[in-house]
Amino acid sequence: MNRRKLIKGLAMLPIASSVISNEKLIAAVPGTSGDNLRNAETTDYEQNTTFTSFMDESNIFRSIGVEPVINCMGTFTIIGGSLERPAVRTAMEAASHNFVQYDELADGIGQRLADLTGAEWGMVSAGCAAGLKHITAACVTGGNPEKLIRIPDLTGFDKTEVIIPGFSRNAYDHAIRNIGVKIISVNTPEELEKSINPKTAMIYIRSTDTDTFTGQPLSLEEIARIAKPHKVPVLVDAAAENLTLPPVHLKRGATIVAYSGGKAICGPQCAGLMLGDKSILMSAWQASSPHHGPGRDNKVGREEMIGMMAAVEDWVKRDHAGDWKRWLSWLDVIAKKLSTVEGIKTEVIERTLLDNKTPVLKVSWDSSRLHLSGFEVAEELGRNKPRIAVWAEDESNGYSFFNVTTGQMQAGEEKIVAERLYEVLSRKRSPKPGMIAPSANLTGAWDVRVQFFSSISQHNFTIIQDGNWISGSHKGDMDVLNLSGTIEGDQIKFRSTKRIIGDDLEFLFKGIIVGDTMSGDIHMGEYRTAKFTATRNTTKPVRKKVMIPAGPPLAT
Amino acid sequence: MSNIYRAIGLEPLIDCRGAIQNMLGSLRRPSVQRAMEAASHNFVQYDELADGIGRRLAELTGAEWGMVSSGCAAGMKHLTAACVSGGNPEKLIRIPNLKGFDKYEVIIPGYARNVYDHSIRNIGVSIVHVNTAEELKRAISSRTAMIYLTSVKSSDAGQPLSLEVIADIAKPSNIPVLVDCAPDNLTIPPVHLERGASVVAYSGGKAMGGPHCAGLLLGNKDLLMSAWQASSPHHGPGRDNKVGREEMIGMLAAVEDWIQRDHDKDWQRWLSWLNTISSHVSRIEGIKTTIIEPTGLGNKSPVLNISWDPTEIHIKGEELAELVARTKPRMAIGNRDTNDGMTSVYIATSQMQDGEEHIVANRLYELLSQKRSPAAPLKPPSVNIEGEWKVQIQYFSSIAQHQLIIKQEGNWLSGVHQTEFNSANINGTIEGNQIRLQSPMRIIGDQLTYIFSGSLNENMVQGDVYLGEYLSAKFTATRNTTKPVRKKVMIPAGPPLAT
Repeated sequence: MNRRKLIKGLAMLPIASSVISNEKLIAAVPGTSGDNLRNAETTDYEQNTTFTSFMDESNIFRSIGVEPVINCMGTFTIIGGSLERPAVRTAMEAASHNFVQYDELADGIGQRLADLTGAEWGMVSAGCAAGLKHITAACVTGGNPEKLIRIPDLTGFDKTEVIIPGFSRNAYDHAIRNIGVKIISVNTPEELEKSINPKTAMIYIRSTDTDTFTGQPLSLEEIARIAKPHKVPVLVDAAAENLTLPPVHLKRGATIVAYSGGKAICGPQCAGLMLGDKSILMSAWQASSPHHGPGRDNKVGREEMIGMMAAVEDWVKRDHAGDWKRWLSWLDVIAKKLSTVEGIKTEVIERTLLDNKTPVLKVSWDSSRLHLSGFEVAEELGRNKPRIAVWAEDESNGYSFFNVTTGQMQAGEEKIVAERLYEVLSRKRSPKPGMIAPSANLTGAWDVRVQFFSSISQHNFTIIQDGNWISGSHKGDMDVLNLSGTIEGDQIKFRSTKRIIGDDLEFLFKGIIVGDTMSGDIHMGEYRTAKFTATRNTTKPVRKKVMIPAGPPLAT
Repeated sequence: MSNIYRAIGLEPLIDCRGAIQNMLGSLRRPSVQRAMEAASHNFVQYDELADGIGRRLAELTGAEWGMVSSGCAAGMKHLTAACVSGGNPEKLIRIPNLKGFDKYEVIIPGYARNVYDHSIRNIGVSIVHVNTAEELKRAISSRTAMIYLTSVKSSDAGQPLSLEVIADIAKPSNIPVLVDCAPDNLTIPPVHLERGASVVAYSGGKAMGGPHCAGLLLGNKDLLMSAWQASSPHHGPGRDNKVGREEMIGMLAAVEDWIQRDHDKDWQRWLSWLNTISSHVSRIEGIKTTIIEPTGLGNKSPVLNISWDPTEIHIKGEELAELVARTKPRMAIGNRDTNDGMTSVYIATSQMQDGEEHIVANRLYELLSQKRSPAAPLKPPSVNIEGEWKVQIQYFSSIAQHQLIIKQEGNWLSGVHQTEFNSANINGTIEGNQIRLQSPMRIIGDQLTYIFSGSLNENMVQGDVYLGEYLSAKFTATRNTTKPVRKKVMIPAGPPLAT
């Protein structure tokens, strides 16, 4: 197809107006630079660009049919982590105008980050997890490109093991596993001491695990003390923490500390910040995109690199005490509004830990009295306009609560949140009806056909039903998961979960039973959805007496 | 306003290489910039965003579905994950440990092996090479997850292993075919999908002028849904390929911009820039210029070739390219030497900005019209370094032991470089006590060259190792004084009597 034909063909395509309307939006928003946001607390909050765009029907997300969310949850990536600070946007805009050589850029930024933070060197990666991956690569290659290009095949490498205390195993260590290293789990200082050997590439911990806190048996200090004589680097994952200057974890003995750009620091969401030992960070940069090798798929833009640096500069200059006061004032607005709702208790919690450090309003109630669970509130707030994301829990003492976390709220949103929470919480609700009697007995074995997005698997259920309650097991492709749930009438709902070290997996089945067939949808949390159809396994169970020999086998 | 790069001591460059330049990327189109700005103001649920963008990309491109990844390589990784997991998260979270998986092989024609297939290898799959249609047929099995190829000449229609031939063979077994078109111009509807590909992958930061760290996948919806499941923000092997919501929206805006853009007008403007440069440098005696208008889709831009005889104008294209890259006003240009003894530099326009053509024209005129003396002959060597050398390499954070076996004939050096993993033939020179050696490693799917530059003092060579994109190291070489073994070799008359 030649170019002319191509263009002509396009005229017939239904080009909707997202970007065009976006131009209109920009024009409608007074001053998209940082000035308005900075003055937001003292001036009319409607001047705030973020607030205005949230209210604007031509919001760029709405233009493709997606409703934006007010973030009262904190820095969760699935809803966007954090909003870039105005200074970050300005810097990224400026960086987008020219070409620059990437290695020179990395060196310039590395030096500037060192000056700003007091660390020996700094590096920007395509997110915190990408940084963890590049540091791991650095620890197995030592900067040797012949090794780098072989990853994840580590045959012939001398450093192939990464030690992680059991309490620090988490979904993000997948970035470390991606290098092909063997993970060694340890639980005590003695185990750590014994595990260190010439194959040890690195020790990884997560700063939010209380077991790493000063004074604990496997505190960062203790780990660093054990690692030091063996010259084993210690990587501390502080993704969602506030940046401390100089970085506190480096002072406590870490070799490198890793932060997310798109969390507390409010840099570009797809950037990460690594601070610490220069020689390791140089090897890590060698392992990062744009360099070809295992890290080429972790592409970091020059705009995002400059934006991350600008975020650190902004963080250093920012009036954190002023932020804190403003956040408290928002919570006051919300708490005051909710104080008239009967049965609702509010409490302002001023978090002191570095992770997601913001004031939080804990809103709690007796769920049997209000006939309302935390889950239901979070769903109602999250799925309807104006959409609000909150963290909710149902406690074993019969109380439910949710938190309004302030760090990523924008000026003006506190009023929307207060009104909306009042509306939802003050609504009178009737007691929940009792459970409907089951229309079938599911006890038995089931053959399950699961239709994933692009493949079909055969699974099995073994179900025991007691009235409305279901328990049993779900045999998947790789694991056997515990299954539990309910049947009401012909409606079935059950959950199967598996705690896998470093990963969580949950299948939520929702469907109906007709005759000897169950069918419906599977909600897999962040892994999205699948469909299932289950039919009774009618194979007669084996009925054969078991013979127990009287001695050792005579044939094998 | 002072340039943001100069503010941290860096000098920006004019890009006359086109969008392929990995080390530079492309510039975002203004509408991309605006869309990203708008997207940065609010929070949004990522899966809803991916669905909204997927639908819009389908409408815009005519593909069944679209997905934005954190770069083309990340997209290839996610698609490979999709092909081995099938959308089953139980499998996803185990990658790159594929034990117990039914699909774990990716077939790649020999011609398509390249550095970017590392993102496929990162999933832990075995790569199966094929060179003919027959080999491909035999290689396909129940283990085959995917076939990957690049949009290079060998995959063109009519070639023995063209995309059409591959798609025909793959279809009955339902094997997905991924075509990597990273630097190509986007065609609407995507031509590779029409030719039989299941999914086609583009870079956002190349021809389209989208966000540098975004990639675009178009094609089969089921596969792309599984690929999105494998992508950040979802936890698993792809969580380290973080794509920002700004970059996702920016990529979508780039596609919209691409469709609305007047490509003919761009082409005319680019040609006019090349004419400016061409007419300027042609005034120098001995300079020949040609404007080439490529018709392929890859890195599509008119190119000005400027060539000369290096025995008349005493500079090589390589030297000129190095000179303009390292001195102000900095510019990245290509160079090549041809068999007829001519040398040349070339200018691609797609990433040049209005006005830069004058800077480029003036700079090239200035440098090419300077009088230069013929290159001086090599200085005679002051020592003979023939023999075996033990080499200690100091990388950024580790040390390795290598060996060099050097043969010397006057100024010229040859021999073998032995590392922990590879062995390569070396070539180089010695002038006085100054040594320069180069050892290009031949590794399938990767490129690595060690360039040694050092000087000999008291039986020790010390200096730097230039590793290209892998940056640098230092080395110290000392003579291996171990006497070679001198022992007659005994050949037994029959099979061994002990082992």
